[in-house]
Amino acid sequence: MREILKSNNDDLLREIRLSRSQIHDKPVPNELSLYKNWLDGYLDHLEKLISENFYYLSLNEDSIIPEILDKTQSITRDFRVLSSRFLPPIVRLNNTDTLCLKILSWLHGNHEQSKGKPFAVSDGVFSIYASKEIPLIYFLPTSSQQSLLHTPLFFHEFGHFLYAFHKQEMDDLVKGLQADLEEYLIIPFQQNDSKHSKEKEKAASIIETWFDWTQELFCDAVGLHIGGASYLHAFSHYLRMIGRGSFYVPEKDLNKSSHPISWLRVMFLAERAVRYGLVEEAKDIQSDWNKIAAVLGESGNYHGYFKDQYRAPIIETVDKMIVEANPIYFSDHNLPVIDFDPDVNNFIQLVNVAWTKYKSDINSYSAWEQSIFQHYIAASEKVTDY
Amino acid sequence: MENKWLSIQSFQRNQSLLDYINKVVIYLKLTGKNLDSKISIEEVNHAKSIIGKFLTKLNGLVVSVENDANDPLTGVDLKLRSFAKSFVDARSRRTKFKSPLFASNIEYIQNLLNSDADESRTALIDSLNDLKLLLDEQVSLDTKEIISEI
Repeated sequence: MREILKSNNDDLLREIRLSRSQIHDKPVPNELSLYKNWLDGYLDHLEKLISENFYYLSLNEDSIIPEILDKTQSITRDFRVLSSRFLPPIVRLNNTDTLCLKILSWLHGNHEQSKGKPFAVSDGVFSIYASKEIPLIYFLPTSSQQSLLHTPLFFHEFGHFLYAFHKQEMDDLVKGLQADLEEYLIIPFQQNDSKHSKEKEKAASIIETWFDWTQELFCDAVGLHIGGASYLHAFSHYLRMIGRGSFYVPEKDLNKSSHPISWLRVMFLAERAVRYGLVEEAKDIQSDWNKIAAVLGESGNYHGYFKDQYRAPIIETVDKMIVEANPIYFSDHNLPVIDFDPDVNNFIQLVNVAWTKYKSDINSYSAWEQSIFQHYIAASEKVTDY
Repeated sequence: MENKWLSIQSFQRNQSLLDYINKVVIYLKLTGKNLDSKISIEEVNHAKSIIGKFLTKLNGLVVSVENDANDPLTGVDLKLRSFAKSFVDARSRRTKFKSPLFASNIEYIQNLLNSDADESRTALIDSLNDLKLLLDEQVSLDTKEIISEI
């Protein structure tokens, strides 16, 4: 067993050193320098853990072999996750990351919670590794990396970080909502027969599911709060053609699902958008989704996972969560502009101008978008030389 | 728009707990044999306090599940809910989970964490090893979700 452990620890050291050399000589833009430093530090940390293992092996003490095995497995898992998910943002770095990195850097700089927080972008579907303790990685599809239209979806992902940052307060707020739902759903069941037991089990599933769904609705609210109309457009375009699953999910799949049905999310987004003064945009997005639902023959069957009685407590809870997280508000940053000037305007204006241009003249949109990308790439090359 | 955040948070939480448990167990085993663990008492106390906090949170959930398995577990994410339910299931798998952690109650283990008595040492090591088994099961799932299998 000692030989096996020694061999795997040796191999981990070798892989760590290879990884270090992969990132060491890679020039990165300013926005990634904190992230690169964190990676370096984390590789140091793993090396230190391996040297501890060699020390424990040198003691020739059989009683701790299970713990050395556990430690080696733990380092291996850490390293596998690091090399497959945390190293690629540096190793795969290319020019098209420039604008995403600048937008995210601006977003982070405008929130106390994320100032100085290392972050990176990588390939994948829109998602985030959100944690208070480790750097944030924003994932987005490669085609979205070259367009501004999906960029507002980052604001939703940033919402997951805000949730993680205020986790205890957020969890408590959601727990309060679950208590409200419990009043609707559980209290009526007093009998103990099998029919009632089944109904109670379903009620429990609905209440538990809303824990995860509420975080998603909160993140949608953050997206709208920061991105304004651009978030509504991005959300709707990105999700409305995925298929029937955006409108209807079978009951067995709703149990323990992580996201509410997209159509439900549209309803909550539209309600909030009206309160934010985006009345026409709210009407448009709802009308678009209703038209698609009508063609699909869907009428909004949520199998009890959503009822009108839940609406008010859900909205109230998400409102409180927004107050707790305090994201920047689009109307404080989105003074109307006809065209975008990178030296004068901010990125909230950029994504909103992008959607206005796209909707008014699709044919000229791509050339304009390209010019914006080129501007930022050229500016970045001047300072980073990569 | 995937829930990668949930897998990475669960992975991090479980990895970190496993590391703290290993630290305490290695310290207890090596100091019991007068060998230098190269782990300071401050590090051990810190690790014990993190494990203790986790057990306190877990205890609330476990009591709720044991009280009525059909009662909802509120205020916690899918991964913790599933961990609490696995913990309760493990109580009935006595051939695999034999330690006082599953034979007794969680408060008993919290007392062991705070005890310096020699006779508590074996019970604590066995209990932490059983906790590690359950954490291992979940961290394996988290790892698969993050990096898939080959």
